[in-house]
Amino acid sequence: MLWLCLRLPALPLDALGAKSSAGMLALRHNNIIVMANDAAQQAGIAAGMSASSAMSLCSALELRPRDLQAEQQCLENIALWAYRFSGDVCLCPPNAVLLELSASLRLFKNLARLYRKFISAFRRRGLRVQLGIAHTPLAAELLSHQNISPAKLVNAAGLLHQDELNKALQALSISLLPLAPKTLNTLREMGMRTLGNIQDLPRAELERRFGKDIATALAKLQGEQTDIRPKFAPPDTFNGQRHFDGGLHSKQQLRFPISALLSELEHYLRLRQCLNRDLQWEFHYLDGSKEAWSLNLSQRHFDRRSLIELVMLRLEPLSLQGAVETLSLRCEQFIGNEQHSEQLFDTANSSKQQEKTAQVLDKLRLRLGSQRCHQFSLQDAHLPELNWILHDAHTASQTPSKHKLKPPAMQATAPNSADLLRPNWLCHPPEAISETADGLFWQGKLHLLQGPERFDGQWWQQRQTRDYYIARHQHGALCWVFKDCLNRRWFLHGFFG
Amino acid sequence: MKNHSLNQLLDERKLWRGQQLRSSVAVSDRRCTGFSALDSALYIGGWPRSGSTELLGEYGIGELWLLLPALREHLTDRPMAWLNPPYLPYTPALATQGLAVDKQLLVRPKTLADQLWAAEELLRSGAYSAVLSWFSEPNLNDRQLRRLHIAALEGQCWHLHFRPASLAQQISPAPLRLNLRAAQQALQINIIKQQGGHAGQQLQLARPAALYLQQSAAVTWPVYNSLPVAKTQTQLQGLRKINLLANTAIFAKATQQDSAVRISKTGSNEPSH
Repeated sequence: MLWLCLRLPALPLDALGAKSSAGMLALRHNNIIVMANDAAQQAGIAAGMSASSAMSLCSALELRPRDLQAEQQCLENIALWAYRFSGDVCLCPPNAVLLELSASLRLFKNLARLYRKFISAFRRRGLRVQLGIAHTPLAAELLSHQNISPAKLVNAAGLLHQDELNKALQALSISLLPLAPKTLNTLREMGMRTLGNIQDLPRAELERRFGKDIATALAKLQGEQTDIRPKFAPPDTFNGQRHFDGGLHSKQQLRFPISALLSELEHYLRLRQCLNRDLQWEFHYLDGSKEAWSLNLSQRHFDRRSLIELVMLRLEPLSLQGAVETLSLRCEQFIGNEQHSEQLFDTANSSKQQEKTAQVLDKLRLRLGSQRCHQFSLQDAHLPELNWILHDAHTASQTPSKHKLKPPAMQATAPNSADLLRPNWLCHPPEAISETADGLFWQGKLHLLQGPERFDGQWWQQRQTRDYYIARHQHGALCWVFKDCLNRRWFLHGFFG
Repeated sequence: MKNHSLNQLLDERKLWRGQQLRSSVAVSDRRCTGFSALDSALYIGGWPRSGSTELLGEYGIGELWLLLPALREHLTDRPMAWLNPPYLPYTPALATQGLAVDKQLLVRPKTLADQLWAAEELLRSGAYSAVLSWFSEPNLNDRQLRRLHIAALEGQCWHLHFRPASLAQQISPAPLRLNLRAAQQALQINIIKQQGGHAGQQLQLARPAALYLQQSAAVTWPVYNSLPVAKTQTQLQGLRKINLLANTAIFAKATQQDSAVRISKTGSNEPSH
């Protein structure tokens, strides 16, 4: 087992996104200063002061309340990010995350490389991080307070130096141990300063003197007793937010944060191996009002670049009601990632094709509305207006195998049905033909050529009896007309296009 | 000197040689129309695979029938789309003629701007092999038409642009333009313009004869009235009625003798009622 602890010493400040502000800033909780940024520390502000004495020290100090919820959220985000390196991630409140790495070492090849990856990732985000690595979770947690550089602990082959590790552990101050303050005080008075001092003492004597806690802590530290921690699991819904001081006024400015949120979502989807079906966006305006808008998707892959275009397209008809202070993204519907193996030839192309089709369909439905994009399917019915249905277009062939079976069956019956004369165009609903002294008239004279073909159906609902004829229009078009035998009126029902 | 300026024009692509064009149109760039007469009339020997093709004419004269063989082939590759058609494509009939139902998309945008936008998206996407389009305002300007054509070239898509025949005299960037007209039991095709070759060919493609099957005029068809037959019916009238029946299939084989018997029966029975 190999545990890595990521500790964020400045989490309360980082959670507020305050690192960018250059001025002096301190956080208070119950009127006590909890943390001060570098500038404030230089002015003499330290944790533990009362808010009033801090203000008297430095009048330019900005005091903000500590936001525990944001800290928790920030820690969870880090855990979520760390989830890509290991399936075994635990939260250690208030400000640390633990990862079990032995299983992922083979993937990342080398401990030193992994270390560098972590450090550079945190530096990119502007977060201060301290790493600790050890064979037990508790030891890693304690070592992370020290922030020992990996070069010392990891040898050239990327393995841990056992001796160095023990030395570092023994040098740790006892105040870091999870023990009651009273016990710690007594230990200190006995002259015990470091962990090494306590470890040298006989364990049974210690337990008799200070209770069971100290023995279990030491056993967990050494790995003699299993240390079970609740595993972190990614949340069921995705939530992302971007906050803009002063607000954004134009849609073009929103493009960048949208792209950033989508890439966050991309990582989340990769972790959970699933696909989202919806994007629920929300604008929080400076004046406190909110505006929500959403987007439904039918893609079979997550493609950030095409998604951005879709989102911008969706944004086009919206008008901003003011300056956008916060942009949030929420996804609630997910489906499992379809992992299907492609064939070597031919079909690799067709899946790309389907992807393209889905993209175009999404775009069309977004701008035109889904009630304006249709697909057909056939139905068994006697009347011509009932043996097909239009339904809203969805992603082409979610079940490709089913559709592929159809055409051969169709061809088998083709010679039979080809005998029937059916028009290529259908007037729906049928258009009334007026009967004049000269004959039938619909935008010109109609001349009956052949017929009738009797359609009699729907007797179980409302009986329809029709005699269909093929007629030639004055202008040369061939029309499909019928006489409704029940009310003796003529209708135009199609064209032989 | 003369030669030099000619070369300059050629370099600037203001002029081009017809021969060069011929070689640039590869065999793979065309698709057989399914009608040998039309294939030979078209300069490239078939329909183009991509770009705009304009079909000018009314509907109901066989315009879809003309395209069916080519569309069938297109559908094996990628789906097709109907953009704002004047009537509903009757899928059961199209399916029996080989156009797979699930490979057709119907898009009906409301405004012209949406129609143009949708057409361009569909053409450019590369997801569709053919797009059949009708616009609510058929008289598009040159820029709009050119955009559609270029989008179709980019997306490797065959754009079939249906327009009324009244626009035949207008200039259009579409490389192939056909005028379609109904003729006697046939479809009359006029090639208005084709890239690389001479235009002006006229040909007629006979439509399926089954469509034009003429029956006797509807006036002479038997009328089954529920009214009782007039009592003062002479034998001659009765005979005419039977003759008419005899023409239909059921009575075709009835001998003259039988009918004679029937005449006497109807003749004798009816007055007694």
